[in-house]
Amino acid sequence: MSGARGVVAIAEAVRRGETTAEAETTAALDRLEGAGRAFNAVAALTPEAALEQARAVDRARASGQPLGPLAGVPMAHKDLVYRAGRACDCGSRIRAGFVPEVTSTALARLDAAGAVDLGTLHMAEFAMSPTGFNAHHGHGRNPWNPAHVCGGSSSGSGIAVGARAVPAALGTDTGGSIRHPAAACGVTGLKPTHGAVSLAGVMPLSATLDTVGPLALSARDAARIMDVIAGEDRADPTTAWAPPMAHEATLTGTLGGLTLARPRGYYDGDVDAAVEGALEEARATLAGLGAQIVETRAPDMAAPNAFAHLVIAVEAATLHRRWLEERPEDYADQVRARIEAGLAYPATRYAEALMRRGTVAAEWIDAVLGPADAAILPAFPVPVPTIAATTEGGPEAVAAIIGTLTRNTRAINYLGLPAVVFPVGASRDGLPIACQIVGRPWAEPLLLRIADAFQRVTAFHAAAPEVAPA
Amino acid sequence: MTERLPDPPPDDSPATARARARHGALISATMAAIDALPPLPPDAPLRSFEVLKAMRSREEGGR
Repeated sequence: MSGARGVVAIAEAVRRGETTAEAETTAALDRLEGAGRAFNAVAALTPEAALEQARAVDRARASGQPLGPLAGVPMAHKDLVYRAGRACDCGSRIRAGFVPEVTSTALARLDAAGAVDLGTLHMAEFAMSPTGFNAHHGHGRNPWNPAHVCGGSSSGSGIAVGARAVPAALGTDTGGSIRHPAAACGVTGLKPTHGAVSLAGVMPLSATLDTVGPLALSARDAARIMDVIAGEDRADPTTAWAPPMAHEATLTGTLGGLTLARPRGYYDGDVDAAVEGALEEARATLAGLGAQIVETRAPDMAAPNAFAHLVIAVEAATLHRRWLEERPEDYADQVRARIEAGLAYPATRYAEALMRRGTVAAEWIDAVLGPADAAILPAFPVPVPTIAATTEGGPEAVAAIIGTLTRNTRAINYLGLPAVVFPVGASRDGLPIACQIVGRPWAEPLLLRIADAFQRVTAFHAAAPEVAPA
Repeated sequence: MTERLPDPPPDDSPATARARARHGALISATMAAIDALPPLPPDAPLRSFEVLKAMRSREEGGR
């Protein structure tokens, strides 16, 4: 049994009887207790419930019942995805001990597909940090080097998958919170189109920008999870537009006939030479697979970035207002600061941000994609920084590095577009370098097809840190 | 329709006043970035993002 086995491999091995759900679950729980806790990925494990789920899968197989596409796959999830009766702290002191009465649609769909839920994973407080910073639970540690940030806010999800403790985890992304930990920890992360995956039963940060998606060891694994969790849900009206999408079935391994854009201008900003070198090689690999690469030019990103900040701040402040008034000391300073600014924006500006969203998104698509099917951007423009670089120094220095880390991700949520992040290289100090491929609304199958084709001919996604099991 | 009107004042709760005092520079920078855009037309639809998603759903996405 390999700790580096992915979602599809485990599900197929369980189906063939080469392993059992119980064995996979027990091994994953051990890895979370070991490397998971050592790198501060774990919020709370629920081994008894997990083993009960696993044994049910094994009984179903033994009795010849059909198994779901995720049968026996052990997963754990960001600590804001609700399961009825299970504590959900949202990485915070304020919600410590909160026990939801409902199970999220995403977890219910994973349950129905046979996945095993091991428990909850740490996250940035109320999903408000791109680095994995959490003043209450401590920093998440990068499995490639614990002195470096793990990315956030789905920090535990990135760590647990990167360390090969679990083959996949759910995260949420409001400004990059799936893509940052995927990039930092060297795994594949998919931020879906807003409305592709139900938000029902997920603690919101900013309801018009929030998305739920997978972090996994490969694009194929992410595709299988998307096939399970995506689609219309009557409990979440934003999914009403979601078309039926086949993700895994579209992974052909070829990119012939596709055009990929390399947007110049804004997305060249702050790019480190090592990152650019890795992206150059990635573009060449994609071209070798049949994609035509064309250059486009990004529009002025000042307004999209401003709108993204404003919408997150206002919507978060609306949800947090009572706590901001009554328990301000229970927030970390930097988290409270990011939320409370939302109290001071005029309502007319918030409405304007929503009213302009379609126009701004159309302009971005026309400029950045143009004739292309998707655009290739750096995930982070710089190598994964150390924790010290993101916490020490004056507020301006910290704000500068945070701004650099989020400059290529934040506006994508305001634009509502899907994006996949996956490793395409390594920095001089051995940390992953990732690219981000962004598409039009509902292009998730296409994005995963591109990432999967890349991963069929490269090994960056298969490289594991030393902490991973052999 | 070429000039923006002043914004209405936000509420005057203590938390809002505190937010204005602490984050004035950030708020000003954000407003300035938006001010650089031309004013909204009076018939701008609030749900235009949903319309965009619907328009682009089947013919352009998911190839």
